[in-house]
Amino acid sequence: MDSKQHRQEGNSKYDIEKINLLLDKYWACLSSVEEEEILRNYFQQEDIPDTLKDTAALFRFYAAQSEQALNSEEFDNRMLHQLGTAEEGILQKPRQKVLSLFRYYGRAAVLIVGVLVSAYFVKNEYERSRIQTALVEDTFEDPQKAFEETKKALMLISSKFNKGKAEVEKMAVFHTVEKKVKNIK
Amino acid sequence: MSLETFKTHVLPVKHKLYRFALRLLGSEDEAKDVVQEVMIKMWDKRQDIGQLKNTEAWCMRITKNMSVDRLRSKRVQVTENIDNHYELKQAERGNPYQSTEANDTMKSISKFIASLPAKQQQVMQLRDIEGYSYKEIGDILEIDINQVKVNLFRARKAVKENLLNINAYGL
Repeated sequence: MDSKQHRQEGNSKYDIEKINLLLDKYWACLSSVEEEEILRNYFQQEDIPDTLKDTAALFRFYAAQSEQALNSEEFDNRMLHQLGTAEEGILQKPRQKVLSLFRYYGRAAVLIVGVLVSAYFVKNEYERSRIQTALVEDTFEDPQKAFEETKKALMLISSKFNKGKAEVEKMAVFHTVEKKVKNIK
Repeated sequence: MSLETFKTHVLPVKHKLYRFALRLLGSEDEAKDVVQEVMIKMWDKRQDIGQLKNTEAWCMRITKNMSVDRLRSKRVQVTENIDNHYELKQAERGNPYQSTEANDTMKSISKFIASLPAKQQQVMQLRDIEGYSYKEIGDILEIDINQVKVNLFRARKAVKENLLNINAYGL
């Protein structure tokens, strides 16, 4: 009852001309924050002239929007819990540190493994090429002996070669016979 | 700053931050996420808070920046779900017919405001809904005071014309 009375008294103190004046200022963006507050309060009441009904809807829209709240208990709890753990610094920071250390050492380990593996392959390749070059290397200390051995090897090749040549010479008979046969034709 | 001080002095700003983020992002979940991020940032910077002239405006600015970043990176679809929140409140007022009519007008106002250019919406939100001064709005949006005035003037002019249309054609 009291509040109703108070509201009615409140209504009477609004001078409609003054409200219209304030509205003009409002639309021209010349009103102060306080004057806009007066307008907002005025339009919260029910006794509004028809001419201002739509304007009232606008200011009620503002008022309703400004009461829109983040629902809240769950958000606060989640928030404070998160901040609480951040404050204690137990949960989040060490984990991050461990992670970053792991990342650091992990990279180093990968690098070392890479170097080792490539070293292994390089070493293998080196060994193989050394064996190959070892085969080509000199086998005799004494040049005379080497010369004798070489001569022997060449003689062997040439004897085999001559043997082959003798066989091939037999083929020449076929060639001459073929020529003669052609002449007869 | 202790957790208690944070709880009593900083946390209550969350509603304003939420409304602003919601205006920018159009998604309640995204807006909540942004508010949470802002709060965590505030907590991290709690040593420097004393040096800030206006903590609330600073929070609003961070909210704006984070929301804009989000919009850029995720291309959040801005949906028009803002106009559902006052229906209940309005239903308490007047007879059912009147309240439905008023509700319709408010819905169409809400839709119309949501269709304004982003900057005009933001300025209007900060001035007409949150009641900030031009200077504070300039600080929050990181624009010149004249820009604030120009945007607000255009927004209000457009809204006024829209109201006249509603009146004339019952749109």
